[in-house]
Amino acid sequence: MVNKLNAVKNQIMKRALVISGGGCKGAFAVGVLKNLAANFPEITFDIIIGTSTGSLIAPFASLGRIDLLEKLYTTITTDQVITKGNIVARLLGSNSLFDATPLGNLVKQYYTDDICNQVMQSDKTVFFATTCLQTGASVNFTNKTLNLVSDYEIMSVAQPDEMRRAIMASACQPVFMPPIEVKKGSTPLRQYVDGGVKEYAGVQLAIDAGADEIYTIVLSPDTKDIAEQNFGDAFNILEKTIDIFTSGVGYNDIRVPGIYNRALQYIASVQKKMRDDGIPPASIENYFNIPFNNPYTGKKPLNIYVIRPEEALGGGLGGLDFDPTAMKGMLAKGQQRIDEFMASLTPKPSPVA
Amino acid sequence: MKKLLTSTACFMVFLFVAAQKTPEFPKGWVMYLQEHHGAATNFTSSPDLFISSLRLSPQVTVVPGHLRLGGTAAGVFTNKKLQGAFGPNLVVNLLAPDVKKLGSVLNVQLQGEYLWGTAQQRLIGGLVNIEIGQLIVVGLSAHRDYALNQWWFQAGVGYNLLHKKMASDPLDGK
Repeated sequence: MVNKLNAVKNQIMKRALVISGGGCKGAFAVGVLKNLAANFPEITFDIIIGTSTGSLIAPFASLGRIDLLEKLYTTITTDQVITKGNIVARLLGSNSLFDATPLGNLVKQYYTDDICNQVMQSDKTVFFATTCLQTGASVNFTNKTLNLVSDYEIMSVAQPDEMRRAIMASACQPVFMPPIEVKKGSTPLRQYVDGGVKEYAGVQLAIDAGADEIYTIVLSPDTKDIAEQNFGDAFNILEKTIDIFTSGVGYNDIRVPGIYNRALQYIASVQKKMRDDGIPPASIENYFNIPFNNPYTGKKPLNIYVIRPEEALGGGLGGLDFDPTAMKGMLAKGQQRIDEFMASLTPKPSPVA
Repeated sequence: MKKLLTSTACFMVFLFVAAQKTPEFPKGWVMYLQEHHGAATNFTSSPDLFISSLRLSPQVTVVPGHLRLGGTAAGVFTNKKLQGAFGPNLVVNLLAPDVKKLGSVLNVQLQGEYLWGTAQQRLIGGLVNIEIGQLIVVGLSAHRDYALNQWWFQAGVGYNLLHKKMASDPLDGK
């Protein structure tokens, strides 16, 4: 019976998966997806939105290749992602502190033409969140041709190489890693970096794309991490600033859609109360049909679930310390967290607002 | 003496191992143009002669992170005469500290070389350089001219003429 209900629900709902940025901490997201696929196979996603490491996960998640994700996120070392150089030489003669050629090679190795074509032909909509350096806009590359009403720029990737470039751009943290031309050689020049610069988790895009239920995997905890220490070292201050900035962006990414969703729930409750009091539906509709740019027209309350670690996962500056042992631990935490989370949803989902 | 040599050898091995994962001495060429000044002396006559040299040293990395081989061509002005000196060199990376796990800034290197001079000199010697940003070297040099029984001691600074912008598209790399 439950499965039957889920089947009906699946037919009428659009479900989105949003995976935030976080470098090696993506292992936590892989752990979540692993147990979600194993224990709740009825939960499938129509829309998958990745930012940074989330963009590396999104294509394989859309194809159900959790096995490959687990392999990648438990074996890769920092040397397979970036090459460190002479800081002075790179600052004077390059566009990033680290050389990301190893990650480029991994992307070419694993996101083959065949994989990219499968993603492009899939019935799932996959987004890769980037930020354009020239325009400062949030640009989301996608495997589909879409005509969304959204504050974001949406651009389709037409071929496998563009998809690899979009994934790479989304993964490249500016300053540490180089910007990427997704549509190489096109004019005017447009270089893209990690979408996490402006948006850590693309919840709003999922709403714009028509999702009714959103599972958001955030790779940092909700708790305030109080560091009782003297910040007397520029590097430590930089590290903490990035941490605060990332937490702040991530907090707003969830908070703003949450407030919007609470307003929708409030409107729905008022409308229900009016119906219960015998006011005709046509009149109710008329009361709420305010002649101005109504942000709530045609919108309905959503279920937004947030799955995140209870405490900081580590992973170094920008999540760039890829340590297989630590990542196996993060993956296990993700598995444990989704099991606890799904158990907490039974019997009645309680949406985050 | 034996103890000193053994200790020095152990220290060199330690430094060599410590420098193993350094981004210093990357693959490819460097070509330093160095200006050195100092004194030529035989420790007996007085005063010592002023010596000034302009050195061009192209080198190629043969063991990334560790070793470069190359040559030196130098114009040397001493005793009011302009002379030349040429010969092979070898540079070993001794130390390249990692800065906050972000990479290196400099390396301390030891350069050994043998030079034939145009005025019958036969020089064997070396330089201790600090190479900063793979762009500039500052260092001290000492050469023993065993043909003319003289020592050259110099200090100087150099610039890497082959310093250039690095490739930036990770998907175009190999």
